[in-house]
Amino acid sequence: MRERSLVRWFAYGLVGLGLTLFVTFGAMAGAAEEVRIGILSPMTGPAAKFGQIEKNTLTMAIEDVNNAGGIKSLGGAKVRLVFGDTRGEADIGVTETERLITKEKVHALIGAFQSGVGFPASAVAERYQIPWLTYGTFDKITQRGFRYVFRAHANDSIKARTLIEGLAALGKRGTPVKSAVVFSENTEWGKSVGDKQKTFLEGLGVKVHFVEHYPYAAADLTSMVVKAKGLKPDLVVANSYLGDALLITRHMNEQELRPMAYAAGGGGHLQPDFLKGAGKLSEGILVATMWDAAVGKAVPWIKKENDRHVARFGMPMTEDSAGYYQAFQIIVDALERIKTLSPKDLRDAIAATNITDINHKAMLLPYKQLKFDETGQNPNATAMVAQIQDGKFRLVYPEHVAEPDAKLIWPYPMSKP
Amino acid sequence: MSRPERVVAWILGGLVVAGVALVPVATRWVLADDNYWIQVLIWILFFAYLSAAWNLIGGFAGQYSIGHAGLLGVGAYTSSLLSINAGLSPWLGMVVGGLVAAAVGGLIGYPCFRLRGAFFSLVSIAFAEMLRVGTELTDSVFGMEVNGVRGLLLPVLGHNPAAFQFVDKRYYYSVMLGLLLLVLAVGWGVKRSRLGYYLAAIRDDEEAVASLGINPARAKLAAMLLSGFFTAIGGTFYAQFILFITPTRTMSLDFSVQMVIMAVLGGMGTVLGPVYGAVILVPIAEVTRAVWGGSLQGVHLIVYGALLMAVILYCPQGIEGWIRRRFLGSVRWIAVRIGPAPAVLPAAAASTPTMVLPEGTLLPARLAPGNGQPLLVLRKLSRRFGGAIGVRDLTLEVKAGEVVGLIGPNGAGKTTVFNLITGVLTPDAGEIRFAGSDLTRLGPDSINRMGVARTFQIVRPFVQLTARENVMVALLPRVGRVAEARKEAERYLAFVGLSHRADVPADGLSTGERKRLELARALATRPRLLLLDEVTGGVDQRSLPGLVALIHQIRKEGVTLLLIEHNLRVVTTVADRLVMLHLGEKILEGTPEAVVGDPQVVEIYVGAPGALR
Amino acid sequence: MHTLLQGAVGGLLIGGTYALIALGLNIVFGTMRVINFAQGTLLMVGMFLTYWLWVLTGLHPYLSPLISIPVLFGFGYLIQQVLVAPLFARERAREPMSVLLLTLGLALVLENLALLFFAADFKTIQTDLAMRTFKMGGIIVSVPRLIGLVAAGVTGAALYLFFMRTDLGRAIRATGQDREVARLMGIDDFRVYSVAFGLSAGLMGIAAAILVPFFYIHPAVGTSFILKAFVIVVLGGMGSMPGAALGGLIVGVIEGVVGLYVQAAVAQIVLFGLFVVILFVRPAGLLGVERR
Repeated sequence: MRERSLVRWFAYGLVGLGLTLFVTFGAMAGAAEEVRIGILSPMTGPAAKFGQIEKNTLTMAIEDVNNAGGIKSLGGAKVRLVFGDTRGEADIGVTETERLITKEKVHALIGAFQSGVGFPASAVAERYQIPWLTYGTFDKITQRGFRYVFRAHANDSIKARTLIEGLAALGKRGTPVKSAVVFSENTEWGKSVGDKQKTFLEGLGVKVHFVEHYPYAAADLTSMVVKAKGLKPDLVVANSYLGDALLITRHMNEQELRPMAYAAGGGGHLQPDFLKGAGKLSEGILVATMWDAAVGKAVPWIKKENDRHVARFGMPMTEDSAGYYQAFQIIVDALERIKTLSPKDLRDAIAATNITDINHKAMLLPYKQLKFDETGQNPNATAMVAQIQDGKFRLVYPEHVAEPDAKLIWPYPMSKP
Repeated sequence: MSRPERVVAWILGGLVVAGVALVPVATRWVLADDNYWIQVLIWILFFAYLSAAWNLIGGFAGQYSIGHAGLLGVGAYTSSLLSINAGLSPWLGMVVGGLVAAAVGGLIGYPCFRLRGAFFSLVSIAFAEMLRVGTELTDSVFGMEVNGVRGLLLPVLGHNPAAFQFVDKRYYYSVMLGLLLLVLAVGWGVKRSRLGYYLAAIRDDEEAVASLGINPARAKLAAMLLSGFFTAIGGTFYAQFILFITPTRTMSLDFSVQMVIMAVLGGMGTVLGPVYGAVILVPIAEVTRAVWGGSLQGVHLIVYGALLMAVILYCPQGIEGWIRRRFLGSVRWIAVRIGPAPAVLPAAAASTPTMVLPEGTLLPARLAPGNGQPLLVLRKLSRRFGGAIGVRDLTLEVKAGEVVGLIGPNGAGKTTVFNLITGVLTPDAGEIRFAGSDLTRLGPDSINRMGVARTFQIVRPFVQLTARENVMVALLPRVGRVAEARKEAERYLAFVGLSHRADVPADGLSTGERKRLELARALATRPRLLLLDEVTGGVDQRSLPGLVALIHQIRKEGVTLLLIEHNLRVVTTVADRLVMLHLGEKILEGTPEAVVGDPQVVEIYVGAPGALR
Repeated sequence: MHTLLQGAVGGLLIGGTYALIALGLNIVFGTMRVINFAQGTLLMVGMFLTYWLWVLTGLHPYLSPLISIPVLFGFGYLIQQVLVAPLFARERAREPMSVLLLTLGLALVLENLALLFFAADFKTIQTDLAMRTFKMGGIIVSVPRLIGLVAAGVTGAALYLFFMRTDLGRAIRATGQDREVARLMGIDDFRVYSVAFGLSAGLMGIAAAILVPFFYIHPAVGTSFILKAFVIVVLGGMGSMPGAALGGLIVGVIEGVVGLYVQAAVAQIVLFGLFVVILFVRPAGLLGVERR
């Protein structure tokens, strides 16, 4: 009768889960009037650690707002964050977005880290006419004629252009690069970024030998590196997640692929774990990023904000958590300008965002101006280039955010045998 | 089931379906505009559907494909590409995608069906991965943008039923429910058809199925085509529901594995099992995500994995059986209270009087017995296994109506001879002729259809089928209609004396009974030549005379017999002639008395355990 | 030419590591004729073990097998006794397909437990050997991978001797060839299975020691290797230790050369294609023996 007892356990388990659910949602239903903002990010799955940091940073931001008396224009309404776990999968992201909108009745959404998730999930928000602030760089997210989808930060094109222009500008201080290879992971992000970098490089007259889209989480990539070595490129660009970034960097050293410059489109090369794993090999790598704590050198309030973050969570804000923070502050800014919580008013207020004050909290990613064009993209968004020096990211480009005391390492030190 | 019970069962079942179908209406009253719950319900239906589609080949036939997501992707991409580029409505594209996927599944599956269990699973993964990586690397095909790994975005058309797009989730719910009912109906139909019996038998023992004149690959192909077709339709639904597809997700190993897990949990090979699996697992995933969201990672996958292991260890048939018993219990409970009093069954139902068959009426006359013409001729037959010799230069003749015994110590090559005759093995050299035709290169099923049947050294009944169903499987290729086969099976069971055990699963039969069942099954193929491989092996002394009598009776039915026997006492009483094999070669042939008395035989058998008992 | 050689050598070197993993898979495959889907996950467990040994006690990864092999052996032995054996007891005569599903469930549980405890971080360790290389006729040879190749050779040879020369080894082989007969000859088939499973898991301790210095450690790391290991086992021949070793090298070289002249993603397709072709043309694999 083992079978029977097992089935009984199933039944107990289901009843238990049902009760949990009932209690959880029951409690939610009884909450007071408030502003609810839905957060879509990968809480589990391979990218779970990103979701965790994003949650931390947002927690800090929302406590500030609520401790300061909530949204004044709405009679001091408190703001609450409701999290949805996408697991990094598009279909689950869609389900969760649906849940946050219909079940949790959120007034605005921020999401969803992976562009491949945010792309279909933001379409759900558009359908329900709930404002969606994008974190995710896929160009097309804001190019579908949607009215409720916004992005304050740089997209893939802007990031790729910044990196390549940065390389050109920095190269003038040393020896400019004339030829390049691009290693790009075979994912939507890698594909989209790799091809854009190629276009910009060729636009600057750099010969691109090849763009290879290698399989994500590969066991070995020696032959790709050997192939590149045979072509003696001045520049190697890699667009990789963490594991592959480590593997490629180590392969390059082993196989003595020694370009004058080693650049990365972002992703894994920006992670603290990469610095640990790659050690001295990371020295001199140039990485495109949308934010780094070093921005605080130029903008004092950002340094203060980041210091609080470090004190509380033991780690600085990251590119993506800063992006979520910015999106949150844009919503708060818009909320202060409306009288009722209708989605349309909120949407119009967001669309009317126009911030130029560098000390405004939405300027955590500092731009000349923060406003949205008719597609919902901020045309003035820029990216930056950081260089790894002594195990730290130093901003070296563009000049208005570059750290005054940062030197430039050029060529890539490993290029010397 | 009695009549009132059947009525109650239909009413209850109908109520459940009607209740599920009315959910969209109900939610409007009860849950206001709660699309999230509808969404969760849609996922439940969707996974139940996919798992049921997988079940057609995976559960029914026991071919554990772990690559069905490849077919899902084929469906999603076919209908989407057709609708974007040719303006074909996904409703039609869905059918096209289904046909394409069925073709792909068939083309890949057919050659793979001869691979044994685990290898089939591996190959299915390999093909799905090739499809996935291939699609990821494809930017366009025939001028249509596929967009590789970046995925395909379907244009948003708002509420447009003709284009399979709805704003209101309830429509998707209804569509998915309809598809699920359709695939369940197909499963129900298959289960009760000839194909269903073949598949169930194949799941138990494919080699034994082939020995009954059934081509297992063809049955599996039919199941695969159905499974591929419906899986792909699920792909189209996914595409129209999410409106964004990528090869990385639609063709992911994750999807393939989920289809398998849900079917296993619910009950593989049952019609409703996949539904129960999805009803349990999908909510678990949703609830863990909603409740523990950010704090505990991957909890629901741990639960999935643990449940999967628990079910396999403790409840291998899945939970379907338990639910069915409960359901039937309540049906009976209700029927007793509302229906007319059931007719009292005769208490002696278990001991139906054994049917007595007049001698020589079991098999339709195929050939006048004992006309002395050679029926089976082996000429210079050889077969090696790597370096070892199985059979060498064997020449042997069996005349119609004769009973020939094949003897020899372990490893003499006796079973190899059987495997060569029945086409399980192909000879390296030599020739096999049966009733004038060449059997040498034919497959086991064709050879059986020509009139050669066999039993196995270690009995191989289809353990999950009842005795009656075992015989039915053998009858179906000849009889065609399931109902007719059911009736006809009675005669064969009576012949071997198993009428009273007709509805016992073969699992529950004793060794002696299994031997008899295997005889009935082999006879049901109406053979002219029957090969018996140690029919008395492992049978206790008391049952022995009965079996020997049965062999005599089979002979009287006009069947020619070639038998392998260790028990020399048995073989000398039933055989007209003995052939002695040693190390793959024939060393002696003659009357039983002559062979048993030969000093060479004595020498070879001395020390051999169990000889000359 | 030089590039081709470099690509091939690179492939050969990593092929040694592949071979190690395939050897483990093949012991279970050859003896029990079942697929252990959790093999990659056991590798992951071994890698975390190696990592924590290094972090907590400073034990060099190359010495960690002293501890990780017995631990993993015990773990594998236990998995067989507790989880797999009941299935074999139930379906005596045949090769239970349910084992495949069981190990699939096990892999899900182990991988996500690792995620729960160790988070989705990518861990690495720095050793002096990790990046060392030397040149032979202009061809660059990575030292840690070469050590992996040598370790695969030594392990393969040791296993070969073990299976050919020792009583236990012969018992395992006999059980693999015909379980019924082996049982008749007085071999305790369940103990043999447990030993085989333990051995197979223990080998992951060696593979982990080889990988940790130059690879990264992550809960999902097994997936990068497991499908390749299946290809290798089928290519080399089920149950053949030299076959697994050879298969590993072939897969490595194919990957290296195709990656060089076409691209790494295409190499994946080529490998799976090869896998399918082998199954049809020579189901016993390159060095496997046809079964009766």
